[in-house]
Amino acid sequence: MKIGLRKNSQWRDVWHRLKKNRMAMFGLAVLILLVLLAIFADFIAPYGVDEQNYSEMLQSPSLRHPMGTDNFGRDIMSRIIYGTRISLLIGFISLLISAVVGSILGACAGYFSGISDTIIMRGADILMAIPRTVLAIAIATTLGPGLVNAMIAVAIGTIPSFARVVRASTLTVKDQEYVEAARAIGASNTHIIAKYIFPNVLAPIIVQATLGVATAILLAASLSFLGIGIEPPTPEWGSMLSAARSYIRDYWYMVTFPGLAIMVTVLALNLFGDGLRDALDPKLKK
Amino acid sequence: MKKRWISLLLASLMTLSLAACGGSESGGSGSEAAAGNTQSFAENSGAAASTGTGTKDTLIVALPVEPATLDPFMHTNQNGFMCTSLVLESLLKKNDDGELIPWLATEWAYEDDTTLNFTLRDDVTFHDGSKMTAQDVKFTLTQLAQSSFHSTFFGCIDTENTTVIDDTHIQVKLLYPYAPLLEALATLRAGIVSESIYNEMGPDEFARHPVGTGPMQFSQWVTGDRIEMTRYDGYWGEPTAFENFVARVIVEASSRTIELETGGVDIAFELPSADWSRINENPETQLISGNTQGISYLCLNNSMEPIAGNETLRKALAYGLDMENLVLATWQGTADVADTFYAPMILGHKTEGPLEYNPELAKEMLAEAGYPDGLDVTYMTYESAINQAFAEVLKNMWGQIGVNVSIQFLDLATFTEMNNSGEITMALMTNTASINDPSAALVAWPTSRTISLRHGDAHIDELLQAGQQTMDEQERIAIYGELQDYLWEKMYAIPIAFPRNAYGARSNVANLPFYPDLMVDLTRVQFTEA
Repeated sequence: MKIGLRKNSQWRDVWHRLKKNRMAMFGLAVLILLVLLAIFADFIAPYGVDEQNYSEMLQSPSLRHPMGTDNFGRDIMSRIIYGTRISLLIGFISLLISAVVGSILGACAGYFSGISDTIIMRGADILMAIPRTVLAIAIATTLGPGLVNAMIAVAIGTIPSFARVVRASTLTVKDQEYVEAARAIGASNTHIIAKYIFPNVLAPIIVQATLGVATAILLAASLSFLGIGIEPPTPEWGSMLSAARSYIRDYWYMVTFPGLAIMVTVLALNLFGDGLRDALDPKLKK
Repeated sequence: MKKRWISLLLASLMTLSLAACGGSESGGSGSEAAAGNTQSFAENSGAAASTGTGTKDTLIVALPVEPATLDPFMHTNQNGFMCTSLVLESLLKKNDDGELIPWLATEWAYEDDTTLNFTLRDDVTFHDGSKMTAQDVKFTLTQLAQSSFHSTFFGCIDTENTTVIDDTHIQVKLLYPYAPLLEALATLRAGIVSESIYNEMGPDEFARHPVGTGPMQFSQWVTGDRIEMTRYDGYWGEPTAFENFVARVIVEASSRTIELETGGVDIAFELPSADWSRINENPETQLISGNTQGISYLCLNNSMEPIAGNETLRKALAYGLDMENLVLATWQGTADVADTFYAPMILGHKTEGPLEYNPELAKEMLAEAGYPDGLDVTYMTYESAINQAFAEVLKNMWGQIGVNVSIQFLDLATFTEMNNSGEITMALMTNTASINDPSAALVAWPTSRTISLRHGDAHIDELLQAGQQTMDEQERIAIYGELQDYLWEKMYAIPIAFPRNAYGARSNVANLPFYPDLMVDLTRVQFTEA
C-alpha cells in the first residue's frame, strides 16, 4: 500500500515536470494524433488502401485528392493515413521486443555478474560493433520481407543498447539495502529481479525506449526503401518513397508527403523522448 | 526557456544549411563527374583532346547495368554486346533497310540447305596485329554452337564437318536446315574472335579484356564504374567518328537522365518512361524510341500446382486481367497490349486477342476449374520498377475475382537461378528477340528449355521445329500462325504487352537509329557540329 502511494507521487512529479516542457507536450500531442489516425484509419481515410483508379493516375493535389494520386491512381493521403498504422506498429512492437529481451539479458548480466555477465555483454559488444543499418539489412535479407520479419530485423539491433543500460542500472541497484534485505528473508533471484530491481531501473528503460521508437521507425522505413522490408501494396512510408523516387522530378508530391510523414513522426517522438528524459531525471538538467 | 528557443533556432538553421550543402553537392557532383570525364579522356588521348576539330573525341554512354562478362560466348546481355559492338565484328551486318550486307565476309552463298560458303576479307587484323583467317571464323562458330547461351541459334552448325578451305574461304556445314542462320550471323552475338588470342588469354581474362577486329580496342575496365576503349589504328574499314569511348555504369535511372541533361554522357540507355517527354522536349537532347522485338508475358509455371494441367484456371486468370489498364498502369503508356505471343514486326505475327476483361466470366471459370471460393497464388519478382508495379496491379485485379496474390521479392541472382531450375511460380518475363525471326521470338517455348514455363507440350516442339527447318517464307508464316492459334488456345502463359524502349542522346549525336532488338551498334555514331 505504502509503496503504491510513493510510486504514484513519483509519476505525478514526472508528469508535472513534463507538462512544463512545451516542446515535449507538442510532441505528445502529435503522437496522440498519430495514434488516433492509426486506430481510426478505416473511418478517416477517404479512399481504400489499395483502391486503384486508372483514370486518375498521377494527379496533382486537389480537393478530391489533397495529396494527389500515385502511379496507380491511388489516393496518397489515404495511403499515408494507413501507413501510420504500419509505421507505429513496427516502431512500437519492435521496440517492445528489444526492450523485453534486452532488459532481461541486462538484468541477468548485472545481477549475476561473473561468467553470465561476460557472455551476455560480450555478445552485446559484438552486435554493437556492427552498424545498426547493416545488421538490420543482413537480418532482413536472411529472413525475407514481411511485417514480422522487419520487426525482428529492427529489434535485434536495439537489444544490446537496452542490455547495457539495464545492466549499468542493475549494478547500482543490486547493492542497495532493500535488495540485501529481500535476499536475507530468502526471496528467490527471479523474485528479487522482478520485484526490486526491475521497478528501479524502469526510468532509463523508458527513456531509451521513447528515443528508440523514432530510430526503429526510421530503420524500418529504410529497409522498406531498399525493398527488403514490407512488401507492396502495404502502404509503408519507406516503400512509398522508394516506389515514388523515379517520379521525383515530375510529381513532387509523391515523395514529399511520405517523407513529411516520416519526419513529423520521428520529430514528435524525439521531442517527447527528450522531454521525458529531462522529466525522469531532473539531475541531468542544468 | 529562452536558451531552448535559441538552440532550436540554431538547430533548424544547421539542418537547413546542411540541406543546402546537400543540394549544392549533388548539383556539383554532376559537373564534377563531367569534369572527371574530360580529365580521363585528356589522360588517354593526350594531344588529341586539344587538336579536336570541333566534334567530340570521346563518346560517353551511360549503361544501366554493368555487364558481368564481355566474353561473347558467355552471355546474352544487351549492354555487354553494346560494349563489344566496337571491339568485335560479325561476318555480316544489316543495313537500315534490314538487308544483309557484307562485313568481314565479302560473299556468301548456300550450296544446298545444309552447306553455306563464305569468302572473307583479306585485310582484317586483330588488335594485336595478327591477321584474321578462316580458322578464327571456324573457332568462333564452334564456340557459339557449343555455348549454352547461343546454341539456340548456332546449334545447327555441324562443327565437325565445317571445313577451312584456305585463309579466306570457309565452308560451314549444318546439322539441319535452319532458316534464320544468316540473320543470327549478322547480330552482335556472332563477333569473330581470334582462336590464338582467346586460347592464350583464357576465357576469364578475355571476359575482362576482349580483343577483336573492330574499330576500337579495349583499354581498361574499372569495375563498378566504367569501361574505356581507344581507337585501333590498324582498322581495315572506316574509323569511328570518336577517338575514345567510355561506358559509365549508372544504375539509378533518374541519375542517367540527369547526366544526359547536364552533358555528362552523350547517350543514356534504358530511360525511365517518366523522363521520355522531358528528354524529347529538351532542345539539347533527343529521344530515340521505338517498338522493340520484345514481349512481356505472365509466365505461369505449368509444372506446379495449381496451374498444371488446369486450362480453365489459366483462362480464368487471363479473363480476370483488365489488360488495357494493367499495361497502362505498369508501363505508363510506353507499351501496347499484346495481341499474341510475339511482336508485330516479326514474320508471321497473327492477331489473336487481346482477351476481353470479364471478371464475372473469370469467377465462373474459377468455379468450373475447381476453385469456387478463390485461391492463393504466389507471384515472384526481383528489383525492377516495372515488375513491381505489375505485381501491385495484378494483386489488385485478381483480388477482385477472388484470387489472392502474395508477392515474393527475390534478388536478381536468386530469381535467375530459380527460373533456370523451374521453381518460379509465376512472374512477369520479358523476352526480346535478338534476331528478327519467330524462332528467336519464341525462344522460351521449346520443351528443352528448363525455365519456369515447363508446359511439356510436344505439339509446340513439333511446330517450332517445322518452322525453323522450313525455308519457304509463306509456309513458315502458315506454321507460325498455327502455332500462335495453339498457344492462344492453351494459354500456358498470358501475353501482356509489347513494350517500347527508348534511349536518349545529346542533340549533336547523329546516326544512332533505334534498334528493336536493343543491341545497339555504336560504331556508326557521329557527332554533328552543335
